[in-house]
Amino acid sequence: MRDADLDRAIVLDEVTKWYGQVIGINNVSLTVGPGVTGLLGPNGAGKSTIMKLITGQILPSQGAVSLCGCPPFFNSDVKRRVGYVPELEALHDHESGFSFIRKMAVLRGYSSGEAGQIARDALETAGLAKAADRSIGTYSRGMRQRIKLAQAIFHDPDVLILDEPLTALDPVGRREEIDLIRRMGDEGRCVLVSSHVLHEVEAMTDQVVLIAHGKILAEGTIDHIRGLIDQHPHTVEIGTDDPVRLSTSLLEKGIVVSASLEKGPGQLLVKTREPDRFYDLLCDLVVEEGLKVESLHSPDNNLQAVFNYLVK
Amino acid sequence: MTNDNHTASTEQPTRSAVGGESLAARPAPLSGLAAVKAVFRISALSPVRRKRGVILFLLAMLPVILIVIADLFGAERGGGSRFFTVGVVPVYHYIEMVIFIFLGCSVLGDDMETRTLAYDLICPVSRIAVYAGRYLTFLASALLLVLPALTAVFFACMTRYGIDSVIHSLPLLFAVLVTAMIGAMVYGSAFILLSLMTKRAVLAAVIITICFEGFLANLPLRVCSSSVLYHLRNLMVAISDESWFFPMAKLDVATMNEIFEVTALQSVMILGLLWVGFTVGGVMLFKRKQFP
Repeated sequence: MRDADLDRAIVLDEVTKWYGQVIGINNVSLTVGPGVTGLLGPNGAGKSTIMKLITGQILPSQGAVSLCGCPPFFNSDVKRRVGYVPELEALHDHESGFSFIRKMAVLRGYSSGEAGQIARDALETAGLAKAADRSIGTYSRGMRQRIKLAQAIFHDPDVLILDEPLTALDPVGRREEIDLIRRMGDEGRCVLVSSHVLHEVEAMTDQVVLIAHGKILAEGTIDHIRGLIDQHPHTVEIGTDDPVRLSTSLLEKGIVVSASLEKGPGQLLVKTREPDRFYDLLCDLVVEEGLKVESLHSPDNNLQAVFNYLVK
Repeated sequence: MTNDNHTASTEQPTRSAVGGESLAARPAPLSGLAAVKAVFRISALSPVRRKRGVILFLLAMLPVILIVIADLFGAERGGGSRFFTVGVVPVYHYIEMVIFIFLGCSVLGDDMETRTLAYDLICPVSRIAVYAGRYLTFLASALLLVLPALTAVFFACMTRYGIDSVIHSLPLLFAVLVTAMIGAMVYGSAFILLSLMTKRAVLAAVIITICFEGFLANLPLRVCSSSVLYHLRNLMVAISDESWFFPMAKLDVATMNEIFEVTALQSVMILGLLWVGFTVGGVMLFKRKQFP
């Protein structure tokens, strides 16, 4: 299978996975091709289950999973084309970073000599060259995250499965990792990256799959997802010196569908269906009526709000 | 050390390598013995390198230490081979079993518990190769602890009685070492299977061992033949002609043979069947096992 066939590198066909009485994912169908695709969902949504199914660690209870055209659980050869960063922090703490990567390279079929060179290169790329001989148990969480990524990419994979790869990284490390993931997507690799933070995914890709309670809620571009946000009333919390006058003005303009003063003194909670126009108008009102706005916050401007809305 | 198998076919990456320009081309996946060898290479002796290995090593050497201490205090060793067969080997069977239990249950169980087995499972090697490689790791680690310790015990018991006594008793040492190896094979496959079946494998293994090897193996007549230990002892007797391996009494072997005769060949076959059964069971279970 060559790069042209990566159009359907990952296919889940009506897949359901049960863990005893608990459902992991429910009738999920998904096709992932080249480029970076963000798998977005809150904790417990089923993201890791999908990734474990794709990497052949678990079997679907129903439906079929295909990785590069093969069922991954029963076909170990296809895994040579795959790199995987697991979500869990577990690593072989007693061995050094160099030894860990070298062993992974040996298992992937490289000779001892090549494996040593690969381990050095991968650790250099991950910024862990100085810590190469230290035991992984002494690594910080960020370093552990970087070595997990290093073991996933050293063999030049066609398909990359990254489960919460930015967890515990510092801002610089996060920036570097985002750049690396984007570059890999641009090179035509199929990259599936999970996160529960919208802006993290937004920094890496435009293509998003939204998942919650084991079901795919929406698929498409970030704009499409934002469109879904805009379709339901957008809540804005305003801290002002005169909430009554501000709410009256906003209601008169017809830009809000409801206004509430129950949040507390000096707090106004409004709902609008046109958030962009609302923010423009609010600026004008503040200037025209000489109102003082101390704070402006939208609890809906995060992923959880989208999930809550879509799950309803 | 180079791996000749990876060079058979290599696929040149179509893009610049992610990790750097010096990365080698992605090799073909390992198959068959090459994969088993690779798994064994990366995990070989790792179980005995950890703290647990040191403790097990001390446990393995305990009889030697006790014999040396007893010697320092001028204790009578009871006379060469008899002391070895009656006093040391039966005790050593249980030490061996503790070693086999801990190594057998941990060789796959540790990585399953910490979930680091995921790193092996995402590599292009079959699960059978992972199982086989880990099983060889168990054998190498267990035998590295047990065989030198048994040999040391033997020489600690025998050297006082001169070189003739040592040479005369060498078949005895041979019998003990061979049966220790056979025991490692059978117990190892059993305990690995157990670690795939339950999260509390050590506890389960201890209970099963006490029931079968500690209790049943010392009962007379047909009952004892349901234990692995009985057949190992039977083999020891066959190889060394030392009936003292049966702890009940000297007559017990003869009595048992009259009532329920188990030949050495039958014991080998039963042990072989047990080994095949445990191994096939372990492989089948591991092949289908899911790691959520």
